[in-house]
Amino acid sequence: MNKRYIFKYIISFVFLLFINLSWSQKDSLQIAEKDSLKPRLINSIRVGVDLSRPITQLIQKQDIGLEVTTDIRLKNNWYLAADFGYESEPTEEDYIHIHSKGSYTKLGFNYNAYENLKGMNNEVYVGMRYGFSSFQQELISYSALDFDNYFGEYFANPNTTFDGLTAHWAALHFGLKVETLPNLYLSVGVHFKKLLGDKKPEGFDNLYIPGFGSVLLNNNAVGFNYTISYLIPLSKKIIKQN
Amino acid sequence: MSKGFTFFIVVIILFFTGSCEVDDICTKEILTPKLILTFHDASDIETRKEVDTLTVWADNKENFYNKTKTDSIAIPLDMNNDVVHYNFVSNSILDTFQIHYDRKDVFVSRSCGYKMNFTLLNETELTQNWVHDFEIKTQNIENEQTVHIQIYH
Repeated sequence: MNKRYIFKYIISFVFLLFINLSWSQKDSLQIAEKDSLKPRLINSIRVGVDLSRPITQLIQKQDIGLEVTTDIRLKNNWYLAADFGYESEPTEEDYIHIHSKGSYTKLGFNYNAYENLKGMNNEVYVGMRYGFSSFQQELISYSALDFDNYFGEYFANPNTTFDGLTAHWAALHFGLKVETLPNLYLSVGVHFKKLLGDKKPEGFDNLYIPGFGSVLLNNNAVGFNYTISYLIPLSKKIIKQN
Repeated sequence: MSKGFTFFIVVIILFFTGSCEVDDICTKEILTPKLILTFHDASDIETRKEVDTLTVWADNKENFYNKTKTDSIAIPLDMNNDVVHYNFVSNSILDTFQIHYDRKDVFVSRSCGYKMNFTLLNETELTQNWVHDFEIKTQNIENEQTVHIQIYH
């Protein structure tokens, strides 16, 4: 379990370095092109995929998942956001082994708090999401603890699947979006999530909820994303910049 | 950013504050309970009476208590079987205890996994050599705070 988190952190740091590099590159490009550029604040839709899932899958073969993210620029600095995804994730704790599968939707908005130089389209954003997940959990095995260990351990292999589980939550997103090539964005973000409600399996609990993640103490969860996305202009209408 | 928006963000952050710890720690109190037995005076069952040299073991196992002077013991039940045979020896006299029970797995938490609860069955038998009689006081073994069986001697 710990090893998996370490991998995720290493990948995220490497990715951050990568983004910084591309950012500085962008600056020099911008100066050269500056004259020909008008403020490009046009009405647009941006579609992307979360790369963190496929990267994790290379290391942890059983972690399967895909998240598609979209956002639409409503007005200056405000974006309507919707993310859709599927996850199939095993969770192996010391005395319990489960596998969660399901799909989820997150709806909300992003606010860009970064003031760009003229002609640049980078973002430092904060956002909120309402998330909803429909999933199943398979209880593969568990052991019951006895501190004396006089008779030896008890181990069970029930292979029970709990179907029709649901959960909904609120999330706070922070992150960076950098336009590395024209209309191509790389972004990295962290998410803090709070479970608002869930349908629990009888005699068991929801340990991993697709889209939400591992349910921590106080029903909290943390997540992150590295997303590559492409901006598709919808209209030529130029949104007034301030 | 406007003041209003900053305030809004602060409120949201407060909403999300909380620890990111995975779970609580597993302690004896929340895990598989042991069978609690108390020893009483056969002529006055309200009064506890100590056993002078009590040795307790389950068949084919090491001693769980060895020549102990006590008026109560806590012994584990076998989680992989519905019956367990215990031997109680006091002053070189042997009594055998055949404990029958039903088992039930109960989910505790992510980091503690499961525990097991037991229900004592009436087939439970105790030979009467140094022991006079016994009585099941609590059928359901869910914690170690209650006395499950009283033994009169």
